[in-house]
Amino acid sequence: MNIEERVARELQREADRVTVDVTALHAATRDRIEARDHVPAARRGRALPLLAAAVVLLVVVLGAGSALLLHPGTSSADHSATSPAGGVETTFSCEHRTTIDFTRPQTDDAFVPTLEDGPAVFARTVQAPRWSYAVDGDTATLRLGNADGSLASRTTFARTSGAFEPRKAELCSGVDGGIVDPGRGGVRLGHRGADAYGPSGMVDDPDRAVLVDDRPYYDASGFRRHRSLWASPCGRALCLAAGRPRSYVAARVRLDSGHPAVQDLTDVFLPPDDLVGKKQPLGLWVVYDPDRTVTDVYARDGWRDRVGPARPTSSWLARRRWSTSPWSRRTA
Amino acid sequence: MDEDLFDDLFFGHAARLVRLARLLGDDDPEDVVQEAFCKVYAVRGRLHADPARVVAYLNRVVVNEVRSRHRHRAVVRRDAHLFVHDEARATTDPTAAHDRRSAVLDAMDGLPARQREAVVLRFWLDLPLAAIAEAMGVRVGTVKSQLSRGLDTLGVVLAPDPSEVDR
Repeated sequence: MNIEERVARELQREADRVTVDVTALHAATRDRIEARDHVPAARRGRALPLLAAAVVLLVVVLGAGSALLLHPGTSSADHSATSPAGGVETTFSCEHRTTIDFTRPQTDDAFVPTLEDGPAVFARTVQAPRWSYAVDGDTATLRLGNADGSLASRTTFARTSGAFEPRKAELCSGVDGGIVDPGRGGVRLGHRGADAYGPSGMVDDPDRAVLVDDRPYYDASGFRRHRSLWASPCGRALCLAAGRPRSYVAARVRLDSGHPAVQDLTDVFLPPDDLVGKKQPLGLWVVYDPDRTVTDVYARDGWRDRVGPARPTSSWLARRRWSTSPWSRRTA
Repeated sequence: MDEDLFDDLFFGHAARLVRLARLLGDDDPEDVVQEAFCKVYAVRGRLHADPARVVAYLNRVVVNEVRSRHRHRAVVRRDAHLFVHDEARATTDPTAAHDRRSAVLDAMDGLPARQREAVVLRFWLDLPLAAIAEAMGVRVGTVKSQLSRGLDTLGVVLAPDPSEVDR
């Protein structure tokens, strides 16, 4: 049996496992349609601005999704354009960049620009604050930018069989194609200039939350983002949340031991989705010190040692020491 | 499209679309299909009269809906991690679910979304390349390359079928 037949057989087996109560599903769908058609009058006034925004968005989404049926043959990829928020610089100001050659087989599809529905749709897909698109004969260039207009990525396209296909992209990145720059004090925890996201919505006790770290990184599309790492007490544990409100990872440090303990928190240190396929450049540990006998914390990675510690910043954090270090399996 | 035609469309295709959303990797395929039909209902006055075109449109809406949810899945996953005890994680037995799934499906979970879409639409729905391109919102050439890469990956990842060994 060849691979195609094997795939088809297993897909059919999996599909056969799914049982569907079509009558119940139909009733539920009708209820959902009816609920959307009948917004209570008292809520209509308050919801009007949001509703208007939602309607605009819906029109845009449907316009893109149903282009085949409603507007066949049209494409905005043939005309130069700039985002309403403004243009994008033509040269990079970021220190490190990654290049993708789309003419060669790709092992990572985290950033695959497409002009199928025009540059504006793709820019919206990757949440680009700004973009600029220029067509010159059979080539086109799409520049995506941060909110301040700095260049995040530049993709060149070539027209093939009537449509533009990506040829090469250059994106801002951390060192070695990573998402952060661990050099020049990168192991230092704390605040790094950007306005940290607030702890509300990330931890249960925002009033007693302490900002452990806030650092910039480059996402999979080359945009400059930042994330905040908050710690707060939660019962007999220490809760951490890293990211931004409504999009974060959380961890819990158990404090029920009477002895000093070390816990590896590297998994929550940087955004996991943006780290897919990238090197983890830093590790994060927290040391629980119940009797306050630990006077110093350091990590050894084979190249450098005695990294850290960061000093506690509040009374309830006084029994924990924090440390980051360049990540290596040889870390001791 | 009137109400009766909409209901006919639902009863004729809902089950198939739920299975399609499941094979594309969505955790809540019935919700995907409800959303898809809500969207179709919203534009029913502008839909093409040809039923085959409407079905193709439905396929595309389901593919887009699953794709959209994949983008947001990370957020949901992150929320699910909130305050999970280590014991809870430790008692999760990955082999239990694994045993119920074939190696093919496990391998498909590792495919990029577009490759998975192309493989499912081709080898489960048995759609022609042009229809797959329409459902995915890409060109036929892209479908070919995604299919080729997907099958290459599956071929590398999958061990020989145990039922075929030593025959």
